[in-house]
Amino acid sequence: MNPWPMVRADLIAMRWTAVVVVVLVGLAVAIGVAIGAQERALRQGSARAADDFDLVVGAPGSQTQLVLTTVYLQPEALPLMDGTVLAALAADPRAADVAPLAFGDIIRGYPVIGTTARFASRWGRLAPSEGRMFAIEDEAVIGADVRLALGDSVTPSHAGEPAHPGEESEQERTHRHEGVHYRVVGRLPRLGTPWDRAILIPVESVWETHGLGDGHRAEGATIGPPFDATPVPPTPALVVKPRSVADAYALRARFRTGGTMAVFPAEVLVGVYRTLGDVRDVVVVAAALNDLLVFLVVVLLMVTLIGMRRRRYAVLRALGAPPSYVLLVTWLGSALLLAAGCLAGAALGWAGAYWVAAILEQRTGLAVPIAFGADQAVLVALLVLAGSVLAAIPALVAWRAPPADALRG
Amino acid sequence: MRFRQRGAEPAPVLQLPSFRAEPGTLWGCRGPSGSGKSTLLYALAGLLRPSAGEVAWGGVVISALPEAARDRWRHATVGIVFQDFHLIPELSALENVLLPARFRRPAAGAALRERAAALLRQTGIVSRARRAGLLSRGEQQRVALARALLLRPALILADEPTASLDAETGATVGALLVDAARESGATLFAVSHDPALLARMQQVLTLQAGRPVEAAP
Repeated sequence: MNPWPMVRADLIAMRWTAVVVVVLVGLAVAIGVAIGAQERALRQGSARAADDFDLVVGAPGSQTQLVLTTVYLQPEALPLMDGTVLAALAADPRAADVAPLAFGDIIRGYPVIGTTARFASRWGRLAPSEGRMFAIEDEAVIGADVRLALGDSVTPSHAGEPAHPGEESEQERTHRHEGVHYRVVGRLPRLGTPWDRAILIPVESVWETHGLGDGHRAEGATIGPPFDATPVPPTPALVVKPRSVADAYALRARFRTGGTMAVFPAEVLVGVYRTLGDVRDVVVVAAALNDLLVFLVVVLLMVTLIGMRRRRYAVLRALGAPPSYVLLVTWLGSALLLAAGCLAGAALGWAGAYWVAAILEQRTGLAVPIAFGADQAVLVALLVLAGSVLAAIPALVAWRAPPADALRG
Repeated sequence: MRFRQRGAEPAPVLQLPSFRAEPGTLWGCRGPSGSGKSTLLYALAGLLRPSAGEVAWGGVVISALPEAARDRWRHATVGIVFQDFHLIPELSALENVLLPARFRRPAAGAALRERAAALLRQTGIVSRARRAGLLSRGEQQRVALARALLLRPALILADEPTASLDAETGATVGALLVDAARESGATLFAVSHDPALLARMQQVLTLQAGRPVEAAP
């Protein structure tokens, strides 16, 4: 049998209803798909941002804040930590590398971070995509998204409030560190993290600007470790590259007591993700219930529509169509609408997730990689399947209707 | 043959001791509304089963067949024309004529398509690709007639085929219906109030309150 001419005729007959059904189902499905895709991408993007931060040491306080400020450059003042910690870590054989991170200044709304050339190149993983790494105190390298040119000379300001990257605020204009200039000598490749919007300078410059010396015993020493001044100037955070997993745990154990706090950012993120995941689960369950409700409304609508077209199907029976033909025509009609709605919803959901990801990246600099995941495909397939099963309800109503009654009624 | 309305009415809707149409004859059926004409027509189509008695076609007792077999028999044997045409308005004239061929086979072959086109020519429909909903009432009934004739039915059933048409169009459709039955040798059973149509029939059954009435045609 060939139901398609009748399916086509039925869809034309209820074209406006069909559009409404597809839009309704599409919107309902899109919400679940978008939230699933967004949450997963956010998790991946944020986890990737923490890649080079194996262990972070800071003054006691909020672990989450320490991670947010170091990994995601959230502008929040961290308490300073005595310079002896840096010296102790530099001397500890279990640490392959350690770099101080000093925050607090801004240039045109971009955060200025004092660190070492080693960490600026992510422990040697990155080479500047343009120019070169800073080599003396007055030089700076910029993140991929910083709108400055190589050779530009800039002056930092003491940041009072969160600034918009790329914009110079009134506060920035009135709080400049007069006489301090950095020349931009290099640009780093894109990381897809807030560090793409940061200006990196030698930590010695930050110390000098704030009147703390340059961290070196000898006058005019080259920048970078060892920092052998007495005392070593304080910093708000230290990022450590342990030699091994065992060393990482040992270092954390050593520095989580005695006036410091040591955290694995990945572990802090797991806690954050657990909360995020719980919220996601609640929203996804709500979205699924929402989908089910919309599906049921659509099924009721189809039952009504098919009831209104009883005579049309009775005519088919009178012309010799078996009940199974009517069943197939009505089931295909409803199932096609629900499936089209699910697919439209999947497309809309992905588009929505991309849109939110773009806004998020624009606001925070964190790249959120939306990718088609198998679990999302399964979700959409399940919804299509559920729709097809539910579509049988209106079809069964039409199937058993006695044709003579409808023809004479 | 006896029909009872579902419910508790004591008198049967239709009580017909015997009715027999010879192959190839043209039968008219008249009577006031509620006299049981449509009930008889749907019984002959195998769409209704009598509460007592039987309906037979040739040697086959239609009323005793299971539903699927009755559907098959109807598809192979019967062509129906309705008072209100009952075309699928969203399909073209040609698609409407071909519709009965869709129920049991995946595609209409070239021969069937050719036959559908020939039937539309015969009934005077020029615009085959036009959507049925856009045709005039007379044209719609002619398309419906072509649809009824597609699978060369041995029994043509017509339920007030001219009642929704003006006199002139009704006469054309009536003539086409009778000619088609004559040419193919099919048996025609037409329920009608239309004296012009009934005049074309060889025999007329008159029903009154569910009983046959002896009357001159």
